Amino acid sequence: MRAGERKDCCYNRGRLSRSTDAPAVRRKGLLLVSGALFLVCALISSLPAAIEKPGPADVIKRFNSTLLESMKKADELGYRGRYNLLEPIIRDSFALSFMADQSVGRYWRGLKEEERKAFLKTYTEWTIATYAARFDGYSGEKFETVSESGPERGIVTVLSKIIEPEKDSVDFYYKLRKMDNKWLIVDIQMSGVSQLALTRAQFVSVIKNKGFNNLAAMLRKKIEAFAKGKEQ
Amino acid sequence: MKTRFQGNGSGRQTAGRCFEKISLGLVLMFFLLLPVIVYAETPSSSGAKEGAVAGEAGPGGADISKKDGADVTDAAAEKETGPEEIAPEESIPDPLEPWNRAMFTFNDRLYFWVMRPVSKGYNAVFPEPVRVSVNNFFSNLSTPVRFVNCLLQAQLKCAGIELARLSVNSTIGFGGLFDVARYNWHMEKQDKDFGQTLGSYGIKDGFYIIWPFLGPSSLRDTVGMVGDGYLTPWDYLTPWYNAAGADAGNYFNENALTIDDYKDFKESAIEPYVALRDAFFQHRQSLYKKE
Repeated sequence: MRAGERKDCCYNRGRLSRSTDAPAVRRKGLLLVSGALFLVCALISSLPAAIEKPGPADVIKRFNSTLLESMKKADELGYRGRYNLLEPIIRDSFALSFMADQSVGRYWRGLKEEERKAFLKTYTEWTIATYAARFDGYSGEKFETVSESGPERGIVTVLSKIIEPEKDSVDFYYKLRKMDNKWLIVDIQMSGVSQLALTRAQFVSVIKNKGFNNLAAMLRKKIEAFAKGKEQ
Repeated sequence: MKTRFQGNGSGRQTAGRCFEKISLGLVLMFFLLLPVIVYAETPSSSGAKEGAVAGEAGPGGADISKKDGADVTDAAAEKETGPEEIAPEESIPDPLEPWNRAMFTFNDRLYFWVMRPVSKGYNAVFPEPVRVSVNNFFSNLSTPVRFVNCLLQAQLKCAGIELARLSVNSTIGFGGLFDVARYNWHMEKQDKDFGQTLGSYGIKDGFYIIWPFLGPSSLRDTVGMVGDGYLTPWDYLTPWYNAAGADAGNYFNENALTIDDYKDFKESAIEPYVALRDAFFQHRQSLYKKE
């Protein structure tokens, strides 16, 4: 009997609330639905952003991961295979056009459009070839992305280490700048030496003493030497 | 080999005389080269001069500074380069370039013809841990160089670390053979030398100079090298060839540890002479900036 009473009581309470608070319930439902819709919209809109716009550290992590893969498969891939594996990630992670411009310093402005395009092509190939030739083996190294600092005058610095067993780790300070809504590597510093400044010192010296065409020829020669010397 | 430290007596006097001669030579050289330094530091020094040479390139040459006429003159281009630049273009005084290039070639051949093959043999006989221990031993012995330069740069913490490292490594590290201080207590070696100390006092690099066997340096760092010599214990060994032998042994062992670095560096470089000069100055400047 008590159970029945409880049943009635509950039933009555249900009926009572349904009959008296119907608009409130509808409002609640609407609120819930709109909230869910809002969440879904927010999720949808934020997802592509998260996928399409990796942060500076993500760029380095992705680059390191491909570099490590290339090192691990170095013998199997050979020079050409490493080149092909690294090409897309280097093109995607480095501000190659900006770096090529900076590498020839003030002489960039004196170049005609077709000369710039040709030089950018050679510069890009030389950059990839250097990586493919230099990172040509694996002896237990691992990469670690340690910190991210900045931005300072638009440049974010990501510290990444290459750790080799039983050896001192080597610090790489990657300098990244946001270009076309994307973080791209513009320079790498090791032991206080900026690779971009180092490249520029050499390029400018060659242009001054031997001319621009000779610089392009020297780069092409270097690419060929890498290909010949390192082909496995 | 006799390797006794001279607490007193004729040995130290001989070493002292030897250093006095070297120092006197360097001071004389400094004064002889003073006009060159002044020339190198003037605004119309190497960088501007090189620019002028580029402008003088012969007809039909590929020099772009001439090719497109007025819009690519150095001066105009200089004005245009501005906020876009990530690292400013700096000219490095190199008035001794002919000498330096000759020494670069000498050292380069010494490396490829002698040092590298001999080091390969040395590395094959002595495993890496042995070579690292030899390096640790010399590094521990040269603590006075780093300790005194920490003090001269008024960096007490740095001096304290060096003192602690010396105590720990000389005892628990078996006379400095093992860098226990670094691996167990994270006390890193403080890379300080007299060249840096002079730099911290505002003394400029002077100019670039490559020494046979020793490699790239600057006028200031060369003077610094002599100063550090006075603080290096094994340089007081007598007779002189023991000191020289210890120096050569340390130099050779240190290079053997990183024997392929120069080869890799040269292979990657487009203009190895310029690359080495630029890397040397950048690295040294980064050490001063750290302070």
